Amino acid sequence: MKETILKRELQLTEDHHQTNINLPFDVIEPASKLTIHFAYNPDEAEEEVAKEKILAALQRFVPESEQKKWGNIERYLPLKNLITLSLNYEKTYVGAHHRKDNHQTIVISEHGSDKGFVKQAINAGGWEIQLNAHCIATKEVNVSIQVEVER
Amino acid sequence: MNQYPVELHAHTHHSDGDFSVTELVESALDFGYKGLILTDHNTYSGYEEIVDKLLDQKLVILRGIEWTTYFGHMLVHDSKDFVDWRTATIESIGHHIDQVKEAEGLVGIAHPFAIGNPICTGCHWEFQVQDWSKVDYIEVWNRTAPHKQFWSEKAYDLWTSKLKSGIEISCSAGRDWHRPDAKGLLPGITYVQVPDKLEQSTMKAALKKGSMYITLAPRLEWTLTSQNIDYSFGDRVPEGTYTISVSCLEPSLPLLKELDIEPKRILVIQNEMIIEEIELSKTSASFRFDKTLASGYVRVEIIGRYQNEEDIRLTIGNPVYLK
Repeated sequence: MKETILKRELQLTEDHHQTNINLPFDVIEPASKLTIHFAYNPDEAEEEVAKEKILAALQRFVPESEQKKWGNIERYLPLKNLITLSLNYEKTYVGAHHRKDNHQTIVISEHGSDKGFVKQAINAGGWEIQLNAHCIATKEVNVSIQVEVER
Repeated sequence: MNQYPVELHAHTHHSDGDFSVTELVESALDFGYKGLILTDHNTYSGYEEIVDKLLDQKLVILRGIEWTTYFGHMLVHDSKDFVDWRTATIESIGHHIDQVKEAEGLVGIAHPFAIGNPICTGCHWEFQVQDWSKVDYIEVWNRTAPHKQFWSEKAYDLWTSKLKSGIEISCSAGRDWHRPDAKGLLPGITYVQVPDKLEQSTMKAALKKGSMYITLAPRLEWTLTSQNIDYSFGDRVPEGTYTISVSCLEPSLPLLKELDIEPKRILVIQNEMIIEEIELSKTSASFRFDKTLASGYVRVEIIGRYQNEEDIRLTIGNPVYLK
């Protein structure tokens, strides 16, 4: 039997760039499996905005003498938002799947979890999702999280 | 002493790599590595798979993680406990490094001068490190063809500036391996030097001590001998007169053997001053001479031609420190 134990819709803005957003939740009874549906949109910046941000980065990080080799803005497009989801059970870090994928379904169980997450029994207790906003390149990003347990 | 090629920076599909764990291990074996540290971004789950599938019986593998934070990427090698990367701020990194050290982990600064946010998030090192002596190594070479990348020169300058200021710190090479590399592109290799067999414990001890060198191809052997005791990469020795033995040797890895390179000279460097320059007339040669060494450090480089480029640092040895 599946039960939804957390459902959140969040709107992140540029102010959340390089910050963490904590979403604690409790598992009341032990379960066999925990599934997190995680999505965010949009996943990339509009081209004009992206080009501006890329240009600023190239000016900051690439020496003048190397601009010819590295300075072509087009090669870095599209510029994607990057939000990763990390998970804790009590004080134990379960993992994160660090890649540019704005639709993830993450299954956690004691027999095997999805990539990026170690095996973890779905014990009763305090759990916490943390959204790690590595890059917010758009004005706003809409994030949806749904956590289900299966007994 | 024996030398073994190891890869210190590699990823799988447990983070943003394309390799499965099995593919990474098979690729490492095919290339000729004898040791590997799996350093997926912000997770240990790939290592769990290595243990489950007994892949660590085919290759010496250590558990690692690449802290992929907002202000820098840090290689944490063989930490006994998980140390949380998520709370690291520009000012607090020293505290986090202390936590890694308490967990017996090794700390390497990955690609400190890579192009950073938002092109590669957190890739450029912005953390303020108060005590550089707690950093075990700086990844002076990152990815393939490191001699062509501007960030290598900057990282080399950072490393040597720390040495000059009296800090004992090593250089390392990391392939930052995510997927098969384009044909013809080769990484810098880290060779660890251990007394006997490569095992998890000896590999870690070599990395901790700085008993290692990095190379684009030629192998390097060198010792400082005094009173019938030999010292080498990473050793701490008293000031005095030593017999220095140094050898430039043919590459050992199959793909490196095919490279069109020509080692041309060996530099013996003390406190960033060249104290001996030896011209090489063949690709493999050994030399022996006496030197009186004052306090500081002494290290060796091999310079030469790499394909059509001259005056390339082909090999960089970590120092012997003199007290």
